[in-house]
Amino acid sequence: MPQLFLGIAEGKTPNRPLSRIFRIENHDQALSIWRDSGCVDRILIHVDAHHDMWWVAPGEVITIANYISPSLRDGLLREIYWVVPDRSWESADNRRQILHHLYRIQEQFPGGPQHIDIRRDRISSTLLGKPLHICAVDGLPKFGEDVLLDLDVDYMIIPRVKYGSDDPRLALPWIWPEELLSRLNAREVQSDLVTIAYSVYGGYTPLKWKYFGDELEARVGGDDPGVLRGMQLMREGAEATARGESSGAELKFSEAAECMPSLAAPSWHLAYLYLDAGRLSEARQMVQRSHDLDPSYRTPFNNNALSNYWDRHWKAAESECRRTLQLDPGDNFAHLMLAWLALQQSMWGPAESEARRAAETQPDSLDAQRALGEALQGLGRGREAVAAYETSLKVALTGQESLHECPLIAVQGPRLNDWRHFDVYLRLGELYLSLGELDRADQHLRMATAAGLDGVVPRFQLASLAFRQRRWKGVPWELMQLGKQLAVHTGRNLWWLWRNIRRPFRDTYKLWLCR
Amino acid sequence: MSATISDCSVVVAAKDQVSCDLAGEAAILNIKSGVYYGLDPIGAQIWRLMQEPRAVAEIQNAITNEYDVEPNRCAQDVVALLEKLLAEGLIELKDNTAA
Repeated sequence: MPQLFLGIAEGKTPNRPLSRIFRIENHDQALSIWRDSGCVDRILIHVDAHHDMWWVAPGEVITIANYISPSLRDGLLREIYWVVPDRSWESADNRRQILHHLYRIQEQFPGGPQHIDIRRDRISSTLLGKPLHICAVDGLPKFGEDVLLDLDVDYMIIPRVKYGSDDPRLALPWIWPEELLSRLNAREVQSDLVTIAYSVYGGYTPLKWKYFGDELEARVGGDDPGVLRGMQLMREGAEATARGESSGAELKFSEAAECMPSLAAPSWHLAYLYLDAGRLSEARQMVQRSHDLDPSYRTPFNNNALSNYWDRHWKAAESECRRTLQLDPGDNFAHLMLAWLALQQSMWGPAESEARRAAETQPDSLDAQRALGEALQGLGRGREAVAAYETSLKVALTGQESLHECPLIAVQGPRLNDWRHFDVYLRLGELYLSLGELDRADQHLRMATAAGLDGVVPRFQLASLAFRQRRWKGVPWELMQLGKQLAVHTGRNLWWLWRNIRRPFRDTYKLWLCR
Repeated sequence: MSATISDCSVVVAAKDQVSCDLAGEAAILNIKSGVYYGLDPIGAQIWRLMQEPRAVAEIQNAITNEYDVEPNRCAQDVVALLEKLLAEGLIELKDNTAA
């Protein structure tokens, strides 16, 4: 039987026409590739540490978190295999994480929960009446046809599927690209259409492993031996770095750079190697070279600071930023992150200073302006805070997005997915109240409540504003809204209490299911 | 049937929206559709005028009095903006006496 990977793994010419291979940054781009390629009724092998199949109704925004569900709904797919990292099967607790995801996915899909078949090497169910199987690579059956092969680089970095907490991260990948392809090859996987997602944006794949996407393409596509040799040297360099053999690592990365002169990854790895060795000017040169070779290396996700920040690992985030600033003192994202970290600790002075640096380097950064507003508000400089906040809102209206929440996985509509945007209106409302500008305070508070940031506090403020402005006709309405919010608030708290009381019982039952 | 806007039309900001002044610019949130809009300083000025029912000709005069713009060009631009706002449900026609 002709096999896609067999010949390549052994360094021979493939004995069948090559697949079409697409490298993409964000995984949801795969959907348009499948559509443009006229895919109908195909089998999908989704190799990823994340399922990417939350339900999305027609007309809603498609993101990296949900692009598979429209593919199912629109008939592009007839069956899905979600290939999870190996350790996802190692223990009952790890398998339970997968089951949690499956329960949540099915709760969202039309038709609700379906029968789930749990076996030692595979979990199977259906979505929209079409089979969904979850397994490790070795649990894949042999297919008698070409499949859609959808690879995410983060699969190689994240050793197991997690539910409800941050992804575990390793110093080295748990599986290397050549090993992954070799194991797919062993399952005789054939594909005429391969999508490879880098997934750096969002913090899923650390930038230093981005080149795995290029390596997968090179190995699947049977690239020239020089490149494959370069990729091997990259692996040897990374392994030497992990063992603390910096001179050996330097040699390997330098050789890799010679084999692959247009690839930014060797320079990037060398930069960090030099930084750790105290060779700062060489480190900066290497960073500059990687930026020149690949401008996408100049990104907020050029270190793990944002991921650590989202995971509330403040010290690790700060350490990452300091390292980045050593390599590139003009990195505005690092300054912004330091401003956020200072804000977390209510250190308003340092927050202002870092936010100003970020805003100076990138004046159209809404996050920098917002952080500056927050710092100035903390310092009690109301007028300046208003100016910074208003600039942030104007910048947002030009289409700039915030990094504060990962924008890519926001399931809500694009216009309202940055809830902090409307939180700024709340803050402006409070500032204008303190400055005695009641009309403006009223406008801003109304904007925030209309956008969904309704609550007891803004409603109380609006009711008090109606009194202070002697709008007697409006007072009963505002009081009624306040009463409504009090009822909603009480109801939510009771629901939260109920969920937390019953959670241990549900978890025990699910653990019993995976025994 | 879609309404047309002429100089004689009277326009006013719709009820299903909230808006805010942003240092001379304006942000508008359509409560029905959830769509969020921004207006530049001139658009914001027109928007402020429409907080009360106002004839289109009156709006055009206010703009030509303040800015160095040829009246015909101003009239065209104002009507074009108002038509967009009308299409987005942000303004209402109070009295359309277009010929």
